[in-house]
Amino acid sequence: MKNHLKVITTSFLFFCSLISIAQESENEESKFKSFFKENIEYQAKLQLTLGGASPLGIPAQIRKIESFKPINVLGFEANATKWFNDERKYGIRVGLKIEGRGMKTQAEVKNYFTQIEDDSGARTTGYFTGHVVTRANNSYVTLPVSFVWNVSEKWNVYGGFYISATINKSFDGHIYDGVFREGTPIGEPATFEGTAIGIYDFSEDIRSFQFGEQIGVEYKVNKQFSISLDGSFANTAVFRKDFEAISFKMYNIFGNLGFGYNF
Amino acid sequence: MKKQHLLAFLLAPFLLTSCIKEEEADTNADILEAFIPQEYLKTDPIITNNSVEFRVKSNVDLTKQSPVFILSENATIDPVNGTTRDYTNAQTAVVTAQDPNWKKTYTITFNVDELSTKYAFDHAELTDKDRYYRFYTTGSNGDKIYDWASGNSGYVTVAGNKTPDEYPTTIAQGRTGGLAAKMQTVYTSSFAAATGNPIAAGNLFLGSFKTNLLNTLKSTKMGLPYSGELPKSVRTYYKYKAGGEVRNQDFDVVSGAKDTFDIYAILFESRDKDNFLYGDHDFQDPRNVAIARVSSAQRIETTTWKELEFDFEMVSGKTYDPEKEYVLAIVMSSSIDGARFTGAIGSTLIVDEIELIFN
Repeated sequence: MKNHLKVITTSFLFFCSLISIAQESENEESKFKSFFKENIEYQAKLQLTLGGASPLGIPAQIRKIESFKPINVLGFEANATKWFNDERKYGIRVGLKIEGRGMKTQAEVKNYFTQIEDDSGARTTGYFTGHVVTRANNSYVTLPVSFVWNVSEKWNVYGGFYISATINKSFDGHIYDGVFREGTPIGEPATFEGTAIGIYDFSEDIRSFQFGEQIGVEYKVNKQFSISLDGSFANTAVFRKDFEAISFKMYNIFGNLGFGYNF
Repeated sequence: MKKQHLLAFLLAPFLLTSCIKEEEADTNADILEAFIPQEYLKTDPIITNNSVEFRVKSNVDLTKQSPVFILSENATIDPVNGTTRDYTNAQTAVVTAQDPNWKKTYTITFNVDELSTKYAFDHAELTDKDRYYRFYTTGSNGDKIYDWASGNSGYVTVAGNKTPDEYPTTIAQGRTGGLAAKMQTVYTSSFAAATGNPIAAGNLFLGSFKTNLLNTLKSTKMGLPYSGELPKSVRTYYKYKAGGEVRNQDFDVVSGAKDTFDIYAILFESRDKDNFLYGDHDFQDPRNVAIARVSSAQRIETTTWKELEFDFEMVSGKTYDPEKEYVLAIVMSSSIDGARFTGAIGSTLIVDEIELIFN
């Protein structure tokens, strides 16, 4: 809840500043002024996100995804599209958004390499066969830069790259109902049954910066409102390079449904 | 067009998750159960992650034994099941998982020795990648015998890089040179605490420990076969220091409580299956015949060696027949309520020489 509040406030402030920048610029010299006045559109967008931190191709250790639930799905974006000429056929869109990237999954795993830990810092790595619950809940401030193509009166197609910085990191979960083998797959077994769980928390190992691409389409309902759908794919892994407690790399892969208001 | 895109994007995560790969080969290389003719056995075979011990009657011919093992699914054993070998001394067998990269060498022993009536705790070795100590004695055939078990192997999972001295059960300087057994109550971990075992009392007992991290009481299998006269008492030498605040299994402070240790011995009737007491027996098992337990007046803190002797008391309605097979459990713990995950961190019990005294 605290997170959401933070996201909402920050995005509101950002949006205000964007408008004020736009207004201030009117007092600048005319060329500069015209850049921000002519062939330019401003948009504010509410975004619903669905996706997850996912490996590229499910590794063999994961036998079954038992459940998947998106969390922290809201995002807010403010962007400006500068059309190259009066035809308004092609343009560049630069935005700033604050977005949640979250999911809760439950999976059945076999020989899943992980690290369970203790609040005193004692960590034990090993191989777990059983069930794993993973909860990722990260918030990012993202700068998307897209090339926009106005296909028809109603449709825009856009695509480009983005950079993101984390403003809130959380990646944790637990293992349950299975056998954890300490160190190696033939190490001392520890059975987790009944209410027994082993906790892990890799929040500190989340990478602070993300880089990736997005591609999407936008449908203009009328002059003011538009609906967009895009996908974003991170090139950088969710975790730091030296992170070893999960044996496969995970990437942020998300689909975003946007409701835009054009000024 | 819009609908198609919507569908594609919404489905993207699921499409990714739907391509579950072919299952990889099994890596378990465990001996799960071990069999020899039932009439040879004094008690169930004791199986650990890398050893199998058969405690057999003294008339069993060890030179020709053909044990059979039940293994993890898809694992194989070399030599194959039923191979007849001479088990006068320990033999080894290699269990290979379905994935041949994973194999384990088991030590298989046949032990004909009667249970000792005196243990000095002078011999201990580091085990399981040198992470903790275990005590042993030497059998009549020269092989090591591990009569005493502790919860150390269960502590491994939460120990991180703690040294052997920080484990609940470790070694100390003995009374007359040599070694002694040191038991200490320690904090376990937040996740063990979350399920109600925030502390682990150091313990040492006749029997075996099979790791079941979060059901420690069922991991603790106390008792080894015993035959002979009914002992009069148990005598030992100890040092004890109680830790600070006693905490219960919710890790809450038990106000006004002071920790103390426990040492006891129980003789109970033998049976074919499950021939042991679990850690949560609470002295109530109907098989119990005679119990010797340190009295509350004897539970004194001491920094110098103190002799302790306490008598066996018959359980009412029970008789002892020296011709019959019994099971003896001797149990020591640094916190008396350690079995209920209650105790004071830092409580330390050091024991040297424990002996059964006869008339």
